[in-house]
Amino acid sequence: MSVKRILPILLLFFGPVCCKDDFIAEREPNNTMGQAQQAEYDREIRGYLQTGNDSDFYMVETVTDQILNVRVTGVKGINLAIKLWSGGSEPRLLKIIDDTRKSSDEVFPNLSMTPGRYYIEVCHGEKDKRVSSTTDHYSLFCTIRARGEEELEPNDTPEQSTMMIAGTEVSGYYSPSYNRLNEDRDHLHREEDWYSIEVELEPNATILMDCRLSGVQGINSELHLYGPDLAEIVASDSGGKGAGEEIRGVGITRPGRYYLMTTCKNYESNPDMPYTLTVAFRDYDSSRELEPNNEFSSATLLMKDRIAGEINPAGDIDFYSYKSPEEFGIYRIRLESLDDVDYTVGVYGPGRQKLLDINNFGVGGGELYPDIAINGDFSLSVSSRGGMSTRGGYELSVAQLDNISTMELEPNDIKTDATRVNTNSLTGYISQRSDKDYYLLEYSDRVEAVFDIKGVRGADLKVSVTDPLGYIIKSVQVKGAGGTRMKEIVDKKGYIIVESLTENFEEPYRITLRGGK
Amino acid sequence: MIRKGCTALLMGALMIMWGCGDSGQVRPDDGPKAMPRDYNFQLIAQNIGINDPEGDVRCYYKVFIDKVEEGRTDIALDSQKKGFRAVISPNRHLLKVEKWVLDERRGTYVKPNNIDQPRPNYLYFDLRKGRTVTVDLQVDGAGKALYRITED
Repeated sequence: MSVKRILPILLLFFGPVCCKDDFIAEREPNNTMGQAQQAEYDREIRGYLQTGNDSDFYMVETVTDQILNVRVTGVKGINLAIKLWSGGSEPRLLKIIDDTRKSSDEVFPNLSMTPGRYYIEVCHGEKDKRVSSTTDHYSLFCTIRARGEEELEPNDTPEQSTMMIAGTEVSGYYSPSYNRLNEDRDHLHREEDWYSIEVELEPNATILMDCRLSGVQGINSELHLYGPDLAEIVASDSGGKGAGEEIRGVGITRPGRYYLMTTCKNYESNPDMPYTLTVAFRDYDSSRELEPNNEFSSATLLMKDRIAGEINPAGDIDFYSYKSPEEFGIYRIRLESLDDVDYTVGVYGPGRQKLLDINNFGVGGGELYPDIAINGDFSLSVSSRGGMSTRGGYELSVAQLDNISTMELEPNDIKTDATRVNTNSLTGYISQRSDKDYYLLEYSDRVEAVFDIKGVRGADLKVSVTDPLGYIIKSVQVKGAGGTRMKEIVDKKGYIIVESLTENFEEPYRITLRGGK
Repeated sequence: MIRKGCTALLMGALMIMWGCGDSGQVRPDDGPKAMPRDYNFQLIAQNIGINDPEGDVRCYYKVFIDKVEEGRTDIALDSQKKGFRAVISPNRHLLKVEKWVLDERRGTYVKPNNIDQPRPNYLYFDLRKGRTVTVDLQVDGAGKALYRITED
């Protein structure tokens, strides 16, 4: 039997199977919404951008709330774009998906559809020269799925924000790369996802808000929190690529609608892997910081002698204000670290002038300044060198010292800040590494003084006596808690200088001045 | 009456003794005492060979009497007179001086090498009871020391 004879038989049996198209061909003209071609879900449509001005319109419809995923495959040498329109009597442009690259796919994973008609316009992108192609086709795929707890695109502005419920996780995508409808000069074409959450609050009540954004592969994300007036409260941008962001302990003191915005850097996108976002509230008590407290004006008041806080996000700085019970006091400032973080505590006087930075210990070591003398109220700041709290943060405490009449007045690290010696004994602390404490001695006559020095356990000190100009005449080294005696003549005026060689910040040294022969 | 008076006197004495005891606390009168105004020995030291302000450094002399450090002169420029006074017992004594100069860079006084110390750096002198000895030490530009003793 010849091939010519069996061919019709083969075609009769197998032809319908082999030759059935598993795609739909574009039907021109479809250059306007009125000419839009009906698209089928889960079925490929092949089309061509036949001219430089060609636009191909397709139409989908839904009777329930659905999420539409649209994908157009790339055409070699052509920069494709997708425009998504809502239908109805006044069609509205919802999204423009254009990654500004030639030959690449365009994807939008989650257009939120309510019952009605939507249009998908496949067209040329804006960046490159519009090139026609009658040989290479694009493929359009439309799929739908049920709506879950997720962003409702487009949610590109506060007005379009997706409502959230506290404690419920919502998901979203960093897609598309560019939002061509975003004309904000500072963030031109940045794709943003906005969410909002309603906060009900009793008068004078305070609650804390925690927000967590998961990481997405290839994405360097940002998380911003805004108040009811759309003023930014705090932003988190501490994680790198693939890492999430977290905002913790933001103090909410007034009811209203608060907004969260997620975005990413460098117009990155990942239409395949969603992020998740959660918001939770917890009660506030005055033993914790009240974020945002990133500046003097929003400093958390230290109601008790101890307060807990966190460095979150990285780069965070926490300010505290302390109302001094007396006009003058000497205070011990201690920070206990629960994290592997290198903290620094700044101390500011009543005029917000910086008095000093406390940074005696490294990572995980906390901080201590044993005795700072301050007139009036003061402020403290807590910051870190790069790290952020992951295991509970820190506890900051302020204790006012008693029996201060013979104590040094820190900072007295230089000659001009020397503590004047008015009694026959003085007490001081090593307050920082390589600390220097200056004391001023003044007599009406030339005297021979005897200095009985009691050192500090575990520390080494160098104690010196100077001439009236502050140049050292005699020095002794004091090891540990032992006692040492030094005699020297004071020419009416001189200084005692106590220098630390090795430190113990916890315990004081004492110097007693006694008469010589 | 006499017995009562004696008892009161004894109590008073005990209280005074108690008051004089070392309580371990520092009292104002325990503080540094002024140098003696009454003295029977005085050293006045000066370098008379200084002509260049650059070489005229702040300095003092440590004073050793009979090999025991008794104190130091006050501090002044090398070209200026610097004094030291003390009360010592009548006898023949060995005076030795040690010059210390300011090292401004290090912020402290340092003892120069022996070659830069006064030569000689010692003197024997007699101190008689009821008299005051003044030793004038003059150092020239080459470091040679001239001691002149006067007795009042």
